[in-house]
Amino acid sequence: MLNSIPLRPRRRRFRRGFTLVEMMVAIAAGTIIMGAITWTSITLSHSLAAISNYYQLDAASRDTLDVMSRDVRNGSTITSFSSTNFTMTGVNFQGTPYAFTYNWDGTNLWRTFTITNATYTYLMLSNCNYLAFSNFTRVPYSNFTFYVASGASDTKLISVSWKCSRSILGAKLNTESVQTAKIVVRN
Amino acid sequence: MKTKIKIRLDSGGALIIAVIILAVAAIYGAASLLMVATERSAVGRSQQWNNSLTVAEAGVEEGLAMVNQYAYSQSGVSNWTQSATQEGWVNMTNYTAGTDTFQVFTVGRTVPNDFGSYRVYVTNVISSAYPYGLPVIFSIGTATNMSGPAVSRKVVVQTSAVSVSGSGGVEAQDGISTSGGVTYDSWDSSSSNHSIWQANAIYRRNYFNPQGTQYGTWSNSLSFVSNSYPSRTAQVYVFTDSNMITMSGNATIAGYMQTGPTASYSQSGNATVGDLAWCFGVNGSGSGSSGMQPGHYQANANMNFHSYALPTPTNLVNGWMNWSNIPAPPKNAVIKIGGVWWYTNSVWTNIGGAYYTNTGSGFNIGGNTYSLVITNRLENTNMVYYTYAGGALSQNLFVDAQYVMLFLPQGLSYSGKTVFTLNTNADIQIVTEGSMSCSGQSAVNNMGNYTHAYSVQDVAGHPVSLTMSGNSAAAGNYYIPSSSLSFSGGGNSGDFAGAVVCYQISDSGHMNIHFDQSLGNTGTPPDQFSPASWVEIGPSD
Repeated sequence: MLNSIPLRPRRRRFRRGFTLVEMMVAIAAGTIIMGAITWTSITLSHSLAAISNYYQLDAASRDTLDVMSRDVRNGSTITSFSSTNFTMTGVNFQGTPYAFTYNWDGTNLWRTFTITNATYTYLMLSNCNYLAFSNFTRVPYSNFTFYVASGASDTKLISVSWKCSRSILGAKLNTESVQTAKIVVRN
Repeated sequence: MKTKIKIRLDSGGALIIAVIILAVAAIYGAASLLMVATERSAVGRSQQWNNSLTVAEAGVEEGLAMVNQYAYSQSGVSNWTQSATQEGWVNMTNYTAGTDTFQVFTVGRTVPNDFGSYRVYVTNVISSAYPYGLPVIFSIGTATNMSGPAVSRKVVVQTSAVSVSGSGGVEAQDGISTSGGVTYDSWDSSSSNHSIWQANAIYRRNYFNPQGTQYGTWSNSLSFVSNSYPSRTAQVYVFTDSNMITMSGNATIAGYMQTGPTASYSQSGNATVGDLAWCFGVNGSGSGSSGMQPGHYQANANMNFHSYALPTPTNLVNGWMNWSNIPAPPKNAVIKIGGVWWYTNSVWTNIGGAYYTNTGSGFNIGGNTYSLVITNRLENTNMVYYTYAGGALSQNLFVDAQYVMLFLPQGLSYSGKTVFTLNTNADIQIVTEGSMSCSGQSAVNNMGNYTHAYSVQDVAGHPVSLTMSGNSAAAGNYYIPSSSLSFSGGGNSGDFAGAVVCYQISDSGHMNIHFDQSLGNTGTPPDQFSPASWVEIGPSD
């Protein structure tokens, strides 16, 4: 008679589900991670947009300042001047007279250039919240400060400062670009 | 025995999430880096663009320094071409276009610290209109200090000739005082509409010529508004660098007033500054307005002038390397006055004039007796140098020669009826280290009333005082930046025509000053070349 060897009962593997606690912990951790990712994405997007805006404003401001300084240096006579606009005349290398005007309308800065009866208008700056021109003689008295000019005909140095900005989601954050310069009339 | 590797297909979620997060972060990072690189490029380009102009300006400055190497010197600023090839400058070539001649000099420099480089060209155009030449400076600046392609900008500067001694009119370092009925106005001896032209008058072997470069002379009729308006002009500039300009009584400036940053002015009584209509009424006669006409005052003006060193005699033609004493011919000596030397067909000929004999006390010329005479000389295209070593000059002196320079170590002291006469067609430059005074009925007569023919100059380090009264002022050009000048007397209508640069000036009585505008234009040897226009031209120009 064969002795029967009792077989070890085959262990059945049970797949356990998450417990409620585990689920809650997992959901909480996931929420935190996804929230962090979302918040990081939004912040990065915001920053990227702000940086992009700043770079665009900075490029526009640099271009404007470069063109304006070239114009003012080349010009010879300031025919009218106020805190928001000025007009200069000059003679170019070929001996042709010309005139140009920089005018801020409260939002945009425009450059109007007239030569041989043709007039060209350029939008130099947009979304310009602040802009001010000041006029001086070119006689310094201390610390790179100059005597205030008595009028347009006396002006030999133009000081300009402006501030442009763009909004992101309706809010002005780090998108302002401020430029200040003093430009001496060379003629 | 086999080992089973079980792959759990339900693992790896965290890795995927991590990869996604890293991918998103990488995209953001790349975008940020791209923008930073773009901004760096834009900023670098802008800085390069601005730096290139700075470098070009350095070239302009070197060009200006080169053409002004003889500025305010006795040798004359226009002689810069003679030593232009120093310090690396190269004379490219000489050009001729019509009656104009050109010389072109160039030099290239590298600015230290890899900042950039410039090449500058200077041309000297000599024409009948500009006999002293007006240099044109062309500079190309290239900036290479930032990454990216180099940027070049080009600047053209046209210079003008500046003669400080006659550029404005009445200029003082430290204050001007005018009172009584003094009038300052102007006229222009280079214009036949503003001066008296004398067809037979000669200055340095050239006839006065309305089409040429010579000039007319002063007549006191020009000061009378009734018959000279608009011959009389209102272009005199009265300037002081410090202290103040004081105007009182009926003092009048038909022109402009300028003061330096630390100077000021005061007006009282009927003192007036303005144009002819403002000062003398709409018709140029009668009474005008008092006070300062708007636009005729400039504060913070800037001007620089200083005394010269004593000139060194350099008349190599005669072998004269020292000052010669003023000739005092002996009794019975004969001189010729009024003749003019002309060099025709290789022969010098003295034309015209009259002979005078020393009677013992001197030569009687025009009712005055002169013991000292400087007569016309053959070598009248070079300066001739005289001096008076007997103390302050106090004797009658008659000058009838051209290109005369007279050095007075002890100055001049005239009183009574002592007279110094500069004949028509003659010219003299007096250099003094002593004070000069004329009082009583003494006189300095510039017979031709030609302002270019008579000048007085002080010497650096020897400030003196000049006191002129009566008719002693005449016509001339006073350049005495270290010294004080006093005009007084003048009776009812004393007149001085010319220009004044001095340390201080006091003008009282009725000594009117009429500024000759021609003293500041190209007819006068310039003291300095100054930028007249500054133009940036395009890359392809």
